[in-house]
Parts: sequence; C-alpha cells; structure tokens
Amino acid sequence: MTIATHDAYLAALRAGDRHAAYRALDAALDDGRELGQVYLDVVQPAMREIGRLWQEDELTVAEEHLATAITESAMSRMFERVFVWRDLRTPRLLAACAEEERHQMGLRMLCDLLELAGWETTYLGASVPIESLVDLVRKHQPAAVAISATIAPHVPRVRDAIRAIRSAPLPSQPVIAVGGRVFLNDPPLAERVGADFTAADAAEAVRLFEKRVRRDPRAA
Amino acid sequence: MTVALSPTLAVDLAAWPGVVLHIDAAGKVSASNGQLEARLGAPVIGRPVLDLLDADSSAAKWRRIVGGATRPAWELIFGTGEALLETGAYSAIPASEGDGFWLVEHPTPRRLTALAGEVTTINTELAATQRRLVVEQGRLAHALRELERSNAALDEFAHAVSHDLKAPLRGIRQRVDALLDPAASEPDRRAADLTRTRELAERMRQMIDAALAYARAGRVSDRIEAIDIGALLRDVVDYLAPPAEVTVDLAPDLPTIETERVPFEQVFRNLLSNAITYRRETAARIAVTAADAGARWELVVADNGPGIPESQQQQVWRLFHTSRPGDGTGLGLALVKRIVESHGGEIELRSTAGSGAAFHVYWPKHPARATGGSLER
Repeated sequence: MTIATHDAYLAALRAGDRHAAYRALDAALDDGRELGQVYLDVVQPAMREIGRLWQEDELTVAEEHLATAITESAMSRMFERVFVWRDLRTPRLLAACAEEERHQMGLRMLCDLLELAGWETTYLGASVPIESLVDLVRKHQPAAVAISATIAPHVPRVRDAIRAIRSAPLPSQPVIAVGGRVFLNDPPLAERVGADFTAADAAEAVRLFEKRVRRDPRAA
Repeated sequence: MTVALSPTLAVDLAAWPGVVLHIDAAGKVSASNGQLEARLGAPVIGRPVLDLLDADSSAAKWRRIVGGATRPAWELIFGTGEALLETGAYSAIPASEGDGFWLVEHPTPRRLTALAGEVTTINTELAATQRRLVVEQGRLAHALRELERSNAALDEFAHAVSHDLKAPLRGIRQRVDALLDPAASEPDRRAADLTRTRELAERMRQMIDAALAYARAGRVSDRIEAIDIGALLRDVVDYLAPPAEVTVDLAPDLPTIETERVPFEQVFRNLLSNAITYRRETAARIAVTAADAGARWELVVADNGPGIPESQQQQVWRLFHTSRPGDGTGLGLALVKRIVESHGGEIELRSTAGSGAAFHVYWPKHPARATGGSLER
C-alpha cells in the first residue's frame, strides 16, 4: 500500500499535478497511516527520487522546484488534517537550515512530527545567518535546536553556528542536533562539528529529542 | 579569451554573460573566459573539470557527455570544497579534431533567478504561516471547550447552591412558622424547634463554606514542585490516623510527580478519608497503586468496602451529595473531581456494590497550563 502511494505520489510530482499528489497522500491518511509514516515512506523517498531524476537529466531544475513546492503544500495540508491541540506545548525547538543551505524538507518534517508530539517548534527556514540564529536562541531560549546541511561546503557554517550558540550567555544550553545528507553519509561528523547528536531521519530525531530533552526513558 | 571562428573572424568571449570553458581531451580546463574563476574565487586553468563539478549532482553527467551523449542543455553545478555555485544550463560542444569539449553556459536573466528565489521564500513563509494558523485554531477550539466546561460547571454550581440550600431554609421556615403559631406553645416543643433551627442554620453555614471551597478549587497556581507521592501519602495516612483494623497499602513504586502540592494532597486526603469512613467492618483494606498512562500517571485508591451501587455512581460527583444524609457536607468527591479536572486530569469510579470501590485518578506527569477553571471571578 505504501509502495503504491509512493509510486502514485512520485508520478504526480513528475507530472507536476498538485491535485493528484494530494489525492495520493489523502488516500494514505484515509487508510490510517500516521503522518510520520507518510513523510518517511512516501514523501521523502519520492523527493529523493526527484533529486536523482534531476541528476540523470530526466527532470529540469524548474520541474524539481515545482515538485518541491507541491510537496511543501501537500505537507501543510496533511499537517492541518492530523494536528490536535494539546494544552501543554513544551518543550520548544528552534529549527534552521545552515547559512546558504536550501534543502528544508527534512527540518519541516522534524518540526511537524515534534508538533504532533506536543512540542512547540519555530521553523526559521532556509539559509539562516548565524547571527540571526544566535539572536533567536537568546530570545526564545529553546530546549533544543536543530540545524541541517546537505552538502559538505555548508558544514563549516554548521560548526560556526553551534560554536556561537555554545558560547552565548544562556541560562541553560539547548540540546543541539544536526541533520541532512552530509551527516547521514558520515554520522561521526555530527560530533566533530560540536552537535549532541544526529539522526538518520525525522522520526529518529523525534525519538532522540524526546529522550534527551524530556529525559523520557520510554522514548529511547 | 578570443576564439577564432574563421581565419578572418574572431570573438572575445570575455564579454559573454556566462561561463565558457574549453576542456581538453585529458579532461582538464585549458581555457576559460574568466567567469568561473570569478564566481569560485579560485583558478581553474589546468585543473581536471571533475574536480570543479559537484560530485553528487554533476560528475556523472560529465562522464555521459564524454561518452558521447548529446542534449540541448546539461544542468551542472560547479563548486570547490568551500563553495558551490547555483545550477546552470550548459551546452557541451565537441571541439574540432577531437580536442575535448567547449562548455558554454546559457545565461539566465538575473531578474528571473531573483524571482525564483522570491517564490521559494514566499512558499516557505506560507507553509510556516499555515502551521501557525493550524496551531492557533487548535488553541481556540481548546479554549472554547474549556469555556463550555467552565460554563457547565457554573450552571451546575448555581443549581446545586440554589437547590440544596433551599432544603435547610425550608426547614428553618417551617420551624419558625411553628414557633409563631400561638396554638403551639408547649415549652418542650418550642425548645426542640429552636434547637433544630439552629442546627439547620449551622448546616447552611457549612454548605456555604463548602460551596466557596468548591468554587476556589478550580484555581490553578504555578507553585509547581516535585512531589514524592509515596512520602506524601504516608503523611496523609498518618494524619488521618485510621483505626488499627484498617490496612492501608501504599505500593512501593509510587512515582515522583511535578505538580502543585496542596490540591494534589487534598484529592488523596479526601479519597483515603472516604475509603476509611465507608469501610467494611472487618479486615478493611485500602490500596494505593500507580501505573504509567503515557502523559499521565494513573493513581488508584481501591478499597474492599461496601462499594457504590451503579445507580448512585453518577450522583457521587454532585456537590452536596452524601450517601448518608446528615453525614458531612457532600463536598468531598465533588471537590476531588473539580480539583483533578482543573489540573488537566480525570477521575473515574469503578465499583460493584458489595465488592469495594476503586477511584482511578489520571494526573498529568507535568503541569498543564492553567485553564482558569475557578468559579470565582
């Protein structure tokens, strides 16, 4: 069922057909799939495939951008459908792409899944300058920060951002996680840039944040 | 960088608004119009082109070009270890006499590139705004439910006060009428009527105090502390001093909870006190246990007393309800329910007449935001 959804979604993205894309994901939710499952088993692999098709010259950059835009709006629709308000919305997470970094899908997924787990998240978007990030960390004092980078040239900026947060005068230091393809390919890199951890996907990141920030042993 | 197009015609490609490179048969950059150097901030002449192309996205494409694949345009990303350029569309034109390739970038209008960037930013902001709206909508729906609950509680409270205070008032009225009746003037009877009137007035006072306590019970403060439930309940049992024949079993694994001490203690003092009062005559046992219920702890006060008949199980939560008329103010369980709910919890009664009662309290592990449940305004 998930494979069929994935294929239908990918076909809709390739065709640039927003409504077909919505229908594919709606059907998955109608079937009782959880948001995290749809994100990780359908949306993420489909977007990776879109990236691969671009590399193979099967798609143009414009078509890839369209697929990204459709996916962003499809994710918003799904989130709206499954979100349930909880009275208690803590802890807080601040999420940002490294300076220059444009790939935001992974962080968007992480924020949505944490929101569903009762967190309050602030998503700062693509290419966040280090100074703005540190200012916001000082202002909001989040319990956790997530930074993403997909390619090696952006890694030094992730490292600098973490250093800047670590040396900021804060009442308590947030737990900092990094993610993105470059960390997926080389997990020990996370520690070398000064992060507390990295995760293979958004669902694992949620589990690790729950464990480290809430110190909830069941989330291990 | 001037390229001869014929013996008499040449073109200076430095003026071309895009990258122009010549890659020789060995795959090295042998000529450039200077654009790539300017964008990368590094020299490129003499370097293998594969070192300058992003390995993930573009290296395989170059290999296909060398392998003879043809396309009107190839989308390539140039970069070094420190910087990556935006994607560009390139024509790969075989150089004459098998001497490698010319890579010529198709210039894109700057305006269009800037607009594409703007659209992406707007899209992202839209997605973020949509999330905020969804969350706010949830907050409002929740606030509405809370308000409805609070209104219902207010109605119930007003009803209980007006209805239940009328009973003693009616009693007082009857006694006073009797006292005013000149026919009924036996001194013994008058003394009895006066005593009863006084008792009823006292009962009304107690009920008003109880009503006030009930109204205040919805208040949630922010004095949160970590409470060792086991230690707290040992103190409560000590204070209640149950008769020797009553066994109170506190489970050894009662957790620590983050909450307000006074209302939490009030709930369990009431439940334990009820269990002691309504116990069976011999071998009375009361047990308190805890189970993990996700975001809440499920705390159970179970007894082996007479139990509560099903017909009465809805009534027990009502303000001024008592199972034995004249026994207490009937505040206990109404107060307990109100405290539990205003702290984001729930309480359930499970009982079969004749075989004990168990009160299941679901109390949040971490404090909920104050919901403003006080009936006092």
